[in-house]
Amino acid sequence: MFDDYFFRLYGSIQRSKWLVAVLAAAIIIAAVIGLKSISFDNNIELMLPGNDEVYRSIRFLRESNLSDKVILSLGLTSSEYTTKNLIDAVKKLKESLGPPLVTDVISGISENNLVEEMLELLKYAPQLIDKQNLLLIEKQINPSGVKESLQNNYRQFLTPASTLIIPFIRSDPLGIYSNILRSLQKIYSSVGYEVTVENGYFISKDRKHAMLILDTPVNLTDGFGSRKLISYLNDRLNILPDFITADIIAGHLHTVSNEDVIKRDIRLTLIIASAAFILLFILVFRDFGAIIIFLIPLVSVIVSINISNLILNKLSYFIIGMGAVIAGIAVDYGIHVYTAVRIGDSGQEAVNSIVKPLIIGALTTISVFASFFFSSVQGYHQLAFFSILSIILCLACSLFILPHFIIKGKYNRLKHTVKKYGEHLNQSPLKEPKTHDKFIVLCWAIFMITALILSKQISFNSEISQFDGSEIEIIKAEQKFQSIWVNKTNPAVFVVQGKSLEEALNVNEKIYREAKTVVGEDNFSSLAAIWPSKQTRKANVDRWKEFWKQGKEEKLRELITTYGSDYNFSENAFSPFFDNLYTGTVVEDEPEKIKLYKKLKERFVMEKDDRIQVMSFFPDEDKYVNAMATISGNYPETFLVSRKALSSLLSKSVSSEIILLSGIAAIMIFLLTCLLLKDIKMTALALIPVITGITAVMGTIPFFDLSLNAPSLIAAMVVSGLCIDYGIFMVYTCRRSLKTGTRMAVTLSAITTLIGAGVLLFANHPVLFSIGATIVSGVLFGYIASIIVIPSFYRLWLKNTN
Amino acid sequence: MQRALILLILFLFIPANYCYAETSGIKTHKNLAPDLYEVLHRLEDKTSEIRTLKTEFVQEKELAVFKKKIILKGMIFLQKPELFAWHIIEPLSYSMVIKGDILSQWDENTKKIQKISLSKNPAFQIAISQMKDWFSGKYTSMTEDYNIIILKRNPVSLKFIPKKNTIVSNVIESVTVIFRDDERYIHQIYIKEKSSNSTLLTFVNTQLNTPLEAAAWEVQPRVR
Repeated sequence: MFDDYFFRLYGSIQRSKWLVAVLAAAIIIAAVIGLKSISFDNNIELMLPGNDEVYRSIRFLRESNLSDKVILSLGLTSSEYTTKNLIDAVKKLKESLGPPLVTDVISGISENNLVEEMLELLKYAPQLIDKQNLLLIEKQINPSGVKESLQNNYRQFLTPASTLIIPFIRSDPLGIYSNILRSLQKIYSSVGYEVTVENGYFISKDRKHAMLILDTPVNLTDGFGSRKLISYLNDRLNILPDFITADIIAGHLHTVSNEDVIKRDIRLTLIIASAAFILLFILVFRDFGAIIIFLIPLVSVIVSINISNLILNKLSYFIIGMGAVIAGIAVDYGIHVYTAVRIGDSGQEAVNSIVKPLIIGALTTISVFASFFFSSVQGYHQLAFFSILSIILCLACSLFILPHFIIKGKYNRLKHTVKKYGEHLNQSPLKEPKTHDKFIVLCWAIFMITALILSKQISFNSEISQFDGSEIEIIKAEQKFQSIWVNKTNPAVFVVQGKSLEEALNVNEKIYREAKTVVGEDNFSSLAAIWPSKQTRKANVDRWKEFWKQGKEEKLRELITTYGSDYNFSENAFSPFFDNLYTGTVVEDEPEKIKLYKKLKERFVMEKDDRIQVMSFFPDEDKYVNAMATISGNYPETFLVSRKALSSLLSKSVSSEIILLSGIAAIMIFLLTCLLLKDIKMTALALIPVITGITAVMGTIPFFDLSLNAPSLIAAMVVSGLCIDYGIFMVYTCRRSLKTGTRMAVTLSAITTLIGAGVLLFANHPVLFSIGATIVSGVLFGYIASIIVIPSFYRLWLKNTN
Repeated sequence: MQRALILLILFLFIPANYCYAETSGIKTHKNLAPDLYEVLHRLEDKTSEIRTLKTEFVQEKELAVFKKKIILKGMIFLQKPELFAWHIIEPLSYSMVIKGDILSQWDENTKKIQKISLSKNPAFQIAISQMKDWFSGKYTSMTEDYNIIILKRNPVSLKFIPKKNTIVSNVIESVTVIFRDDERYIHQIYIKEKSSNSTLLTFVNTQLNTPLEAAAWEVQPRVR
């Protein structure tokens, strides 16, 4: 039945082979033109497991205010120049930056308004001081408390810095606002930058570096926009004098660099692979027609990219990076067909003799990729679709188009080669076992044990950063930036969501109260510490009024007058405090006049669509993260983002994901092999290259001090799909005693795959490199096992049954 | 401690994302009137020879918070490039020593030594850097923050008026500096604050480039 359909289709294509060729040429041209309109996606989310918590955390980190900012770190290169020279240059640079790519430049704090702003904020003390703090104030309103405060004030007035602090002391003689100020200090120190301010500019502790923080409308995932922004900044940086260096610290740089690295890798791998393929065919086949074998997978991949793009809308760069590997796999079908037709007497019969193992081989490989559809990683779905499509196209072209264009000349180089060496290589496996068979099996067993022992040292790397293939200069610049400016690790973030700011602030307050008990007040930086909800502020104001109007105001005035004269204080020395006692008692939604509040809001509040997110920060340590996670569990409108927890969550998700996919792929490979060979022993033999290849991968990775990661595990599954093909072909050949040059074809298949994957070892991108390392080690040992170990096992184990 | 906290707060907005940037252009000594440039340059040349400074001082503070003028007496030590000491002997014992980035202070009330990092305490940093600039004679560099007027040429008397949008412009109206006859050092500094406060600092028994004893850099009680 199958043979009938195959022959009919084969025959009809043979009759109109030139029409098919023209049609194929038209499709190829359209596909090549179509490549220009392909949109690639660099979004890391595509490669992450579909776990809500992972998505939410990654999205939050990406959308948070800080991630879109660009930082310019500028440094003096010579000790001949001073901080003033640096500031002058930064001023000029700042003035040169502007829209549309840079919407705001933050160079520091202009100190000129700072004192006024601080004093303005302190006027809101009636709204900010709670019941507990009022009790502390009450304890100070007595002779000894006032005397001690006045003594402190007197001493402060005599210090060289008194000029700047006089207004503060006059506004707060008892230091009762100190908690507000302490909270502010904590809030700002939680950022983790080690910065001083000089002439209103951010200056590093060593006074040799300055920092500019830029706001840009360019989204991190916008590759084109990022490129434009980086080019604009590099152009602007040219105005800096020679004694100043500049480092750009921005996620955009990673976007651009990753694109460049992947593009360069793809270009390099394609060039090396193409050259190697062509050279191989010309040297082995000595037939220019053999180039068609190489062209088929290339064309299949190009057509698949177009179709995938049409259906999936956008393609990930990682998936396209797999193009060379897919070409390496898919070229196998052409090799088998070509070898069979050239060696066999009739093209049609030769193709017919290998069509079944070829289709089953393709099906097992497809089954591996099909298992990726069970994954929750969107990128894997793309990979599966793209790979399966490429393989089907390549198989169809190899079976139905390629044989009609293979010209049999008088002198057949391939036939000659196979005849010359094939009698030795392709000797009948049914002969009596040879002495070296046992030796081969023993060596194989030793190799497997060694690889298994080595595999015990294997480690799994789930860090998201491994997907970042940015150039080393960018990483170095960031390390330099960290050493100059950063004194802490990134904190974990607790996020409260609400429909309105008031709603979010209400919950935020409750969280703050609980967090203080489990994490500690000093460890939890929250807006609630300085700016509570309107409801709470109203209650504070009522309490404040009641407190002072109970005669405490008069009492304090009296005490200050009585004991102030001991220190020579004038009567109106502290009048600003009494004058402003009730100034801040009008409760507004937000204190629009206070610029400090704006600053706080920008750091702690994020508006997203129709939601408000209020953030709090705490150390990213397991004990705190666990404690806060318990609190978050009681408040559905909250979640927390911890980079450490995210890493562990990712590790768990990826591990379970891979275990599931590997299980599905293993079952599918086994079932399909059983289905074809209809013999459990033969199936076991066919699986030898798979087991050998995977064990080799597990042993090789730690041997070369590499670690396993998600892409390399996926590559290991591809290795299984390839090795089972070798196994099936070898077992099929052993059983049927085929004279179709199977060993030669399998050898060429392995070589082409090794070339396709081997070129990835030249890739700079870590993901592509790990894929290359896995496939090369797996396929190499899988191939050796299929060519050497299977025949020995066959002779030792199955000779009597045959 | 509460005050130290206030001072710390002054730099808290370091990581904040707003900026009220200065818009004034950069002026260098090249923009100065030739005679002023000549005077500043001459003074700077003379003071640049100073390696060490040891001087007594009398500081008269007229502050609105006090009923009467307060008179402080003490010693100042300076050793370029980074040692500075300010010791008050009267009316209370107070010592402040700066070694690089670290400011140490002691007073007779608390009897405790407090150490502060200047880089983490910009209020002090600003005040100290202003003081050091005055005492070290870096006058041309001050032209960025001040407009300078020559009040008198013999002995030289200069008036420094803070430019708008500088931190000192918030609190200081003007600073008048009167030099010694030999112009090698300052005789008096008069600081007039916006809030009608004023401070007059007079230097007495000034010794230039003499070896300074190690005790100068120790925060400890001074003999009255």
